[in-house]
Amino acid sequence: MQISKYLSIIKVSMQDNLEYRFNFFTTFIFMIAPLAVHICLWSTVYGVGVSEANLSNYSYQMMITYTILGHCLDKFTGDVNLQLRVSSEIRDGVISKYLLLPVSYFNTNVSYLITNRMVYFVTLIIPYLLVIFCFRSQFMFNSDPMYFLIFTIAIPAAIFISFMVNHLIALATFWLKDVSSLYVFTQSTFSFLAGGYFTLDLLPTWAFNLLMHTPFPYILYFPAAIYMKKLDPGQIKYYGMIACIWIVVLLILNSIVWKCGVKRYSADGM
Amino acid sequence: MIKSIKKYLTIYYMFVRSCLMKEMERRGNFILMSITTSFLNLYFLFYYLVLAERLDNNFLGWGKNELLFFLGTEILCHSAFMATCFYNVFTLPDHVRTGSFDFLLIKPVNTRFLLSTRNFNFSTFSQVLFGIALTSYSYWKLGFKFSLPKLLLFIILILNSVMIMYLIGFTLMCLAFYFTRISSYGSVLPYRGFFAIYWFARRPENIFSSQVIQILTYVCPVLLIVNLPCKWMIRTTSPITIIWAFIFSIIFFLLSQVLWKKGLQKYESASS
Repeated sequence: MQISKYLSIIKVSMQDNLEYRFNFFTTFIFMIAPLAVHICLWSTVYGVGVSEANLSNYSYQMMITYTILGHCLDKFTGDVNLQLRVSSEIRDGVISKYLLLPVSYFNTNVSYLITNRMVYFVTLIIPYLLVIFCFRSQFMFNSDPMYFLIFTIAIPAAIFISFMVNHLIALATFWLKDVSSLYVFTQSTFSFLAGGYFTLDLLPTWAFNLLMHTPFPYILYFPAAIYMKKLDPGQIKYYGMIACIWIVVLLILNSIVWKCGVKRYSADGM
Repeated sequence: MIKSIKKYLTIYYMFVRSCLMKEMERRGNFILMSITTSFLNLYFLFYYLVLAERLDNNFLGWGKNELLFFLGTEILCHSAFMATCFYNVFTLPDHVRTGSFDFLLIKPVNTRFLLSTRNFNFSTFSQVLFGIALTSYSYWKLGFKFSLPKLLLFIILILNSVMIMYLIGFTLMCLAFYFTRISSYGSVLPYRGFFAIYWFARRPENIFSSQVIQILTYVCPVLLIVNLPCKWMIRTTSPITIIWAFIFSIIFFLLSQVLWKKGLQKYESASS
C-alpha cells in the first residue's frame, strides 16, 4: 500500500521524463566536448613518454578508462535539476501540498530520482557504449565478477549519496530563500571533490585520505576505482563502510533539516 | 557618427551604473557570488598545480608558471566575457519564446546593442582582478621584462577573445529565431553548445595534434581565444595568426549581423 503510492509517482514521472529524451540526447552530444578534451590531454601526455610512477601507477589504459567512466558516472549520478527544482518548490510554496498529502516529500523526490536515472540510463547507455567501442583498445574491461558486482552496487549508492547531498543543500532554501546562486558553485565543488577533474589518486596522500572520509569520492571516484581494481578488498570493505555511514548520516540530516525547515516555512506565494 | 558613438557610450555608462546600483542593493549576494566564483578558479588553479607537480614541472613543454599564466589569461577572458556579454546575449531565446523581445524592438536604440549590453555582472567581473594577479605573478616568476607595447597588444588580444566569444554566443542565440518549434530547448541548446565549443579553448593547445591545432586556429578558431594572447606574452606566435584573429572577428561579426537581420524578419512576436 505504502509502496504503491510511490510506484504511481514513478509511472507518471517516467512518462514525463520520456517526453524530454531529446534533451538527454543533446546533453550527451554537448557534454562529449570535455570528454574529448580530456582524452586528447591524457593521450598526448602519455604519448610523450611520461612515467606511470609519476601518475600514481596509472597506465594509459587506466587513465582513459577513468576519464570515460568518470564522465559517465558524473552524468549518471548527478541530477542537475534537483537542487533548482526543490529550491524553487520551497520558495514558491509548492511544497504546501506535500504537507497535506499522505506522501513524504523526500520519498516523492526519491521516486522522481529513480525514474529520472532510469531514463538517463536508457537514453545514454548506447552513446556511452559507442564511446567505449571507439576507445575499445584503450578501455579496460573488467572480467572479475566479484569486482563487477561490487561496482554495480556502488553505482546506486553513488546516485543516492549525490541525491541526498543536493537535496540537503536545496533544503537550505528554508533559511536562505534563494540557493540558485550557489548552484554552479556546489556542482563544481562536488565534481572537483568527487574526482571529476582528475583521479583523486593524483592528490597528495594526506588530501586523498582526508577526502575519502567525506561523502564526495563515493559519488564518482569510488565506483570507478572499484571497476579498475585500484582498491584491494580490504580498502573496498573500509571505504564501503564509510559510504554506508554517510548514507545513514545524510538520511538523518535530511530528516532533521526538513523538520526544522517546515517549522520556519511560511508558504510564500500561496 | 561621433555624436552617435557618444550617445551609445553614455547609454552603456548608464547601464553599467544601474547594474552597479542594483548589485550594491544586494551586497551580501554580490560578496557571496564573488567568493563562490573565486572558488571555481581555485579548483582550476589546484588542477594545474597538481598536473605540474606530477609531471615534474613539464606539462607537454609547459612549466608550472607558464600553466599559471595560461590559467590567468583564461580567467581574464572568461570573466570579462561573463561580466559583459553572457547575461545579455543568453537571454535572447527567452525573449523570443515569450515575446518580450517586442519591448527591446520598440526602444529608440539599436536593438542588437540593447540586447548585448543591458546587463553588467559585477560579481563575475571581480574575477578579472584574480586573473590580473595570476598573470602578473607568473609573468614575473618567468623572468620576463615589462614591455608596454607587448602588454597593450595582450590587452587588445584579450578584448578580441571576448569579442569572438560574444560572436559565437550571439550566433548560437540567433538560432532561437529559426528553431522556435523546439522552444523549450531554445535556451538550453545554444547555452550547452557554447560551452561545448569553449571547452576546446580552455587547455594549452599542445594537447592537440598539429593537424587539430591548424583546424582549431583557422577553420573553427577557438584557439584564438585564450591560447593566442597567452602565446603572445610568454611564447612565440606568428604575426599571420594575430592578423587572422582580427580578420576573423570582423568576418564573424558581419556574418552574425546577416543572421541577426534575417532572424528579425522571422520573429513572430509570440504571445503578444
